[in-house]
Amino acid sequence: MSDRQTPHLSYLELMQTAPLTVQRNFLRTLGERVPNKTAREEIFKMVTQNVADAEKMAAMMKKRTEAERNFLSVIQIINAPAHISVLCAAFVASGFRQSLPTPGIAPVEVAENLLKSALILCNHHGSHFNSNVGEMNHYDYEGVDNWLVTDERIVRSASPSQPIPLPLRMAEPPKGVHATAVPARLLTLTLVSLLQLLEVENLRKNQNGSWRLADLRRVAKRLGWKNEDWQQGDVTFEGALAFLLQELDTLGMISLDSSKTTLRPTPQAADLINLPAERLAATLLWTVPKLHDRWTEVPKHPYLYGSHSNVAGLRVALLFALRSLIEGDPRARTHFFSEEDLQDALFQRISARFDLSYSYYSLSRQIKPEFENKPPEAQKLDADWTRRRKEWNEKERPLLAAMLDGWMTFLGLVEVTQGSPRLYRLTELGIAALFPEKLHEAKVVVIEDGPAWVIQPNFDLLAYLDRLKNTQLAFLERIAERANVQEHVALYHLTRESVYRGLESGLGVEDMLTTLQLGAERDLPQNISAEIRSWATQREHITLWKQASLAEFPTDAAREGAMRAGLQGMPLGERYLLLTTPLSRPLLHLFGQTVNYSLAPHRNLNISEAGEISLHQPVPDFMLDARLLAWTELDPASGRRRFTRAAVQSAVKAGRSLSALFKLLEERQYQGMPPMLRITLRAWAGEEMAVGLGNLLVLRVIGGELNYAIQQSSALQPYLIATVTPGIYLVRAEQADDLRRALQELGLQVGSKVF
Amino acid sequence: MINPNVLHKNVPILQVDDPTLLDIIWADPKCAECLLLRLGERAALIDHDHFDALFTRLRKLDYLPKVMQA
Repeated sequence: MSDRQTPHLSYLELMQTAPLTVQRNFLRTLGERVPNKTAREEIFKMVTQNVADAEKMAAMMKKRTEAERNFLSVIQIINAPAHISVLCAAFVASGFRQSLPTPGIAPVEVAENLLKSALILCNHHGSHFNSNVGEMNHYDYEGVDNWLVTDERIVRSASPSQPIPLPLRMAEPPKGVHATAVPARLLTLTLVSLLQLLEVENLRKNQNGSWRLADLRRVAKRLGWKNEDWQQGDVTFEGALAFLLQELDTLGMISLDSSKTTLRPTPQAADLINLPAERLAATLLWTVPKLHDRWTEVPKHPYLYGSHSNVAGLRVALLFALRSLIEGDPRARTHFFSEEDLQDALFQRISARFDLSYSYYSLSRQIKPEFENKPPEAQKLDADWTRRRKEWNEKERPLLAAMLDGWMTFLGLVEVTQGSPRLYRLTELGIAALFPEKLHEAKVVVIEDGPAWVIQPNFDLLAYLDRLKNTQLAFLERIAERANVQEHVALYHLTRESVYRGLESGLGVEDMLTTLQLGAERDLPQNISAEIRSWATQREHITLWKQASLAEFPTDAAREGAMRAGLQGMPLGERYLLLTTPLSRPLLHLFGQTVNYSLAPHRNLNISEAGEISLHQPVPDFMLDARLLAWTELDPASGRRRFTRAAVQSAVKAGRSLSALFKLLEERQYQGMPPMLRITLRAWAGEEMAVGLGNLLVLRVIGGELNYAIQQSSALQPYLIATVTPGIYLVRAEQADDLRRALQELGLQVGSKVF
Repeated sequence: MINPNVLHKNVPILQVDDPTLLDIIWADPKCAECLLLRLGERAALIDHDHFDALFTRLRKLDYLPKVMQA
């Protein structure tokens, strides 16, 4: 995987550090005369003044060619620094007359003209400005630094020409076939829910940068999804959750927390969910190309070669082709199209100048000339056309199909028929999102405060989406389970589980009831408020303190003394006080020692082979003492704790794990644990540790020659069991007399002294 | 004279509003594995490494534990 990320460049920042000739080129384009000895600062000042002069920009734009104006409008729509291969792909797909095979202007030539006039700038390998982009070698084309950037004030008056619509066969809405689209506000609901989840759920990345699958699945389940994929009928968006997270990451809405391992929402996330549905959809839609190959529609696609690939180019090609369809064919707002026809039309439009696997094809001047200028019917007879079509089916087609069924459907941009053949129709939301430049002028609808839901005694909550403010929506997502969403209403269930989660997220029960009442059209049913209060009461029975501060005293009297001195908390047992307020500095003197258990623990244990435990340094360690308690007994003689057979057996019987004990001892031991004690503990815990003990005799032989003779003697071998060391043999006790006789027969004197 | 009072920071603790409830929780073998020491009739020390396991177990037993960070 490459890491082709959109750089944070602005046109003027780049221009400020550009060679003077570039700044002069820009001013020359505007007809400004710059005297030879003008200072650099003065020239840059002239540049900024001209960029800010709308009239001059409009006058300049009128002098540019139609192709250049159209190219600039593509940059305006993408509205971010874009890789040159992506811009060229968008231009080819846009349907502007100059971009089509006839007359066949290479998009890169248009880009070069704009670079030469400095209306766009290229950050090439950090040295900015190679205006001859098309002359670069293939490695340069593929380089991750070829980003083009312009200023919004320059392109504002670009006024593109009318594109030729994508030649797509449009079909009547199918009779009896069910078509569904994701309701416009579902995306907001999903995002609100996801961002709230990320406040509390740990979502971590693997070392290779991918999301941890277990975390993804847990979050997906909390979203109400079956798994990390998203489904609607028979349409599946594989990797939907990873896609959404990557979008949020790219938009800066989530970032790593201080632990550098877990993602949390940023303050900007609230701005995103407060966007009207159309702007939210447009924001997410036009972020998709910026994901590059950090997320792809078809994981492990065999024809994606890291940064060489142009997956972002294919995404923008689809978007610009659909724009041309909407702009040129009014039937596209009401009629359906098939994936097959879309593939055909897009293939015809871009395949001569686009290849998913290689960015540089988008920049070549003469790519596949053998069929570029032939009419479609003639192309079909052409062997190269056939070959490229086969390639398309393997490379581009699976990705395009996954785009339609994936993020286009998930974001609510297309309506999809169920079954086969699958048909698509752009939704109103989809059409709005495809034209982000028009949304900037759209008036934001302000939702008035007021009732937005009805609560039934059966705990169903019906929310009216057009009356629901985002704060109310966030509230519902916190305390209720979303059952289903239609275009104008969402059905939620208030459950014990969902209310518990709401309380756990920090909402108080009375605030919860008040907000429910304020948003309701009618009074809350009495059983609802009674039940919610009952659930809140149940939550008070058990409290789990994750990181409490606990004061320990030798006696109850000492604790009372400390409380009289100002220490506040809840007494636990006879000697403890659970501190309920932060400890002020003056009260610290009440304690002789402080132990912080979030720090790395001391290696402080010494353990004898007999199992007796002592501390290397007398540091109090409440947690260690408690952990060892179950495995040991107090030895009254020494006053120390000791591992005993009874204690170990009792701990194992109670379900404690010996391997956890060994892990603890290894972490905390000052010196290594005696190996025999490890064996002993395992044996006490029930592991079989067999040894044999019996009577054997030893035959000792002195002298190398005699020893060698015995080793070689076939008569003596049956009596000898094993050799301990040279000259010492083990003999079975019952054969001792026979061996003695045999040795005597051989003339040897057999004594009884062995050592 | 050495001051014997000790302040333990960042310790996980289970606290209940009824002593019987602590007995019931401790009687569950999976909960008991997560608990180290009774601090009184209404509180117990939780094993640091088993905090999440105890929460999951209590939820499985249909309790609604309130989780407090500090």
